[in-house]
Amino acid sequence: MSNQPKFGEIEYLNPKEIEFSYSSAGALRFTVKDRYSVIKVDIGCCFPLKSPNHFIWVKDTKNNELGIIESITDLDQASQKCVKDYLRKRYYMPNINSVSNLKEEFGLWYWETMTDRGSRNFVVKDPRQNIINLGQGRLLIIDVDGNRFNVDNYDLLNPKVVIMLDRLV
Amino acid sequence: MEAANKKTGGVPVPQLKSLSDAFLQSIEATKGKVILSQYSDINEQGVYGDRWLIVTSKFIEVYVEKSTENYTLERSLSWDEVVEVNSQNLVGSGIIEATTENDIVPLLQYSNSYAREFNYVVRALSKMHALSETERENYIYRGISDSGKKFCEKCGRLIPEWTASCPACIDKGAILKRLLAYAWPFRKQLILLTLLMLGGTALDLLPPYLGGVILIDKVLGGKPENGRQILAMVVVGLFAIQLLGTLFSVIRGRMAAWLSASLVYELRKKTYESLQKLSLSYFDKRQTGAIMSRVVHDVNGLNNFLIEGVQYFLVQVLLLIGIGAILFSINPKLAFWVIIPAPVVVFLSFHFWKYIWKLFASFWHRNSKMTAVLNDSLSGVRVIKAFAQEDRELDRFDQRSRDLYNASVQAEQSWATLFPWLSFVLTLGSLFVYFIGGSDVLLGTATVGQLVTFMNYIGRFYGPLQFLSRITDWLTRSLTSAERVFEILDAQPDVVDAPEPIRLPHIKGDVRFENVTFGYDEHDPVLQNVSFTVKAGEMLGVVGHSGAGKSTIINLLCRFYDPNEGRITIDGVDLREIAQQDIRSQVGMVLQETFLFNGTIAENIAYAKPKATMEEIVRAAKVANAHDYITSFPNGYDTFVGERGARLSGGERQRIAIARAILHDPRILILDEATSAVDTETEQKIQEAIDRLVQNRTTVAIAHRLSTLRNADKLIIIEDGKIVEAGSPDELLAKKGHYYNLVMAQEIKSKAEEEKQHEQPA
Repeated sequence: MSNQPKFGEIEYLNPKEIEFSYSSAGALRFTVKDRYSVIKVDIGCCFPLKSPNHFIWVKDTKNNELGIIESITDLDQASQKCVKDYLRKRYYMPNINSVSNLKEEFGLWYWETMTDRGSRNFVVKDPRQNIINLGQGRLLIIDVDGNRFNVDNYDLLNPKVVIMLDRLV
Repeated sequence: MEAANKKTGGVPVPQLKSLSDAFLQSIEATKGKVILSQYSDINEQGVYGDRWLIVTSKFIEVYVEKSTENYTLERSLSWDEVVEVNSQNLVGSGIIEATTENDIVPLLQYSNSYAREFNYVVRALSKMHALSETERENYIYRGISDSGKKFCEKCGRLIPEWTASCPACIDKGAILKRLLAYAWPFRKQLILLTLLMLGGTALDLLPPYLGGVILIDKVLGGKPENGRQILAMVVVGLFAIQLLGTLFSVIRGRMAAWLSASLVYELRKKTYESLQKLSLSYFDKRQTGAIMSRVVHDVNGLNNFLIEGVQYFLVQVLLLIGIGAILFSINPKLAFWVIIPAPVVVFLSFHFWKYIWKLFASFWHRNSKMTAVLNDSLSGVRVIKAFAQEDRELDRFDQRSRDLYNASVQAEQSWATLFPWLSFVLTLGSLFVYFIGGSDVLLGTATVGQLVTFMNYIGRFYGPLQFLSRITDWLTRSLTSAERVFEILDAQPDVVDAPEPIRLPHIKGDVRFENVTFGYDEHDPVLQNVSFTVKAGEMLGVVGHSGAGKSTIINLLCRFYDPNEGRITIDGVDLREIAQQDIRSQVGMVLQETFLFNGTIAENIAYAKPKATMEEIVRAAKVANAHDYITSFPNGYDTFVGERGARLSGGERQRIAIARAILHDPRILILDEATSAVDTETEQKIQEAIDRLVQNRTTVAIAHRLSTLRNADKLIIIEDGKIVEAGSPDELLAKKGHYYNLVMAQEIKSKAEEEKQHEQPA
């Protein structure tokens, strides 16, 4: 932090010099070895959909950016785990593995799904707006409450669902 | 939290969660009085699970629900340990955190389905934190009154926001009745129209009979003595039928056109009137496109239903009965063979149209996507060329175009394949009749005329059957349109005049906010406990970062919304008591984004005073520093501004808005970032105009550039919806607080910009 970056320059955090850990209560702690430690930081992805493991920003509780990590994989194993766990919580976007039922009624799509975080039923309104085609079969689905779901490749879901989605995306 | 429900035909509906009484009692016995409990659907591992936040007078605790009777304590904090409780909105979820002396404790995570509930909980926790244990025991948590979603009481389905009642459980008869009530004023014409349609249909039924049984059997087959005479009569009869049918058709068409236009006009007028009466909050919650679609497409849908649909339905039913009766009267045995394939026809038609409809819906959707890309690239053609991205745009267009091509091929090929097969199946019925009827003719039990008549009637008989197979679909679509239109007609504005509003035709201009708290969503306040006073003729500057709540103050002052708590007064009278007409006619605005209506510059300046004289318009433009540039246009004040003022620059539009406000001559003037996004020279001109405008009026000004507030009598600095500083500009500078910091930051920035400009070569 002592060397302030020039305007417009990215301040990369050296993965060899930084560490992430959880406090006993569960807050994400950030340490730059031999320099400083922040009791609670927030981290997030610059490209959460396209490249969630790269360009990770680190901010303090006052929303000041402490720097950017170019790639999670450059961090030590323990820090990597902390960061991945945190991002998994921060970006709550369960991956839909299968759809047992999809029903359309009065413009609402009722989904019964199994996700990587357990089973979930949800409703999507305005499917043309809220089922977003990210390309190559990948979908981002936003339900009536603003919950987000990811589908890696909708072609692999059950055929009835594929037909319905084919007509939409 | 959700389970498939038999009542809803398998559609999952949410199940409300609650804690068992025994468990709550056990907590109360040891942990103090339970003040609130809130369910969350995410467990500590970040997967879906059941957790509860339970707040007692002594503790804030989190429990994991193993079963309805089995709960495990996961976290426990006593109120004494807690310094602060906050919620953090994440992506797709949120988290409640408690700050203690040494740490920040993440209490529990919740999905966005419970975000509104937890926002309420956090507000309550903040209030409770300031209380003693005994006071907390008496604290009553009211919870969330409106979860933002409505569920049907009957079946539990989520009710779409475009309707007030569940579309699955709605009383279709009641809507139909109400819908027909709109046609009631035109009942005489509608009855006549129906009679003409029935007459036309009856006439349509005669030619096969005349041409078959009469012409073939009685004339050509019977060879009577007066054959030529009968033949001539038949031909004249056929001519008369054709003529009469054509006349009926012309009259009916003309009448339907008039009726249709009249009904659409009435319905659209009523819908638009209703829309104009509604408060801003109604429009906040809905997309403009969706509302437009109701006024344009749904109203048209209703018209089609009332003018064409109902009669068409009647005619089809009568055709079916009529032809059936004729066929049975001619030859019951043959008629029976015509009826046999009817269920197959209904079944196949139903599924055929359902399938084809979906394919074409997909085609239309892709067509609109391709149009959007085309629109994008044509509007942005300068950017594309400037960055030499033609090839990329070509790829983008090609992708959409290919999608459309695929959808088009699929839809058209399916149609080309399935329709002939449907027709083929339909003709199978006639093959039965050919064989059985032909055998009967050979055996002499039926006549050739009967057979020909039957063949002619068969096609007409299966037509109504196909239509009736789609009747439910058609009716549902029409009733859904009706529902959408009725929702607008029935909507009640949130902001209404008091039963006996106080008239203030001459406002003096004293404005006062008293402990005003407001949120566009009640659970999420944008302004909290805001109080300030502006005396008549004074200028108040409102300063703060974007999203701090500055524009909300203006929205409340104009009474676009009412405060959730506290009150706003003008000249000492509560805003809610004053007639809205008196407020709006004496409050004027110059906004950051100037909206100009289609029309001339003169019409836009005179928008609030349509009867303004030319002299008044020119004078207003002069005061607004707009006269010089307006007169440089070839058409001067008669220049057409085009859609959204596309031909005028930002600064020019802004000065028209100022001229508009000058002509309006309001007692209270609102300036919302009026000089942002313009160059320095234009800003000076606008500032001059504003300085003239604010004289002798109460002014509330929001400005990003603090220099524009130098003449303000008083400033309030807003941060996160709260006033953090108030006073005159000099007082605040001397105080060296928030305002001082903002001024310094802007000065440094403008100096840096000046230096940068000087560094650039001439």
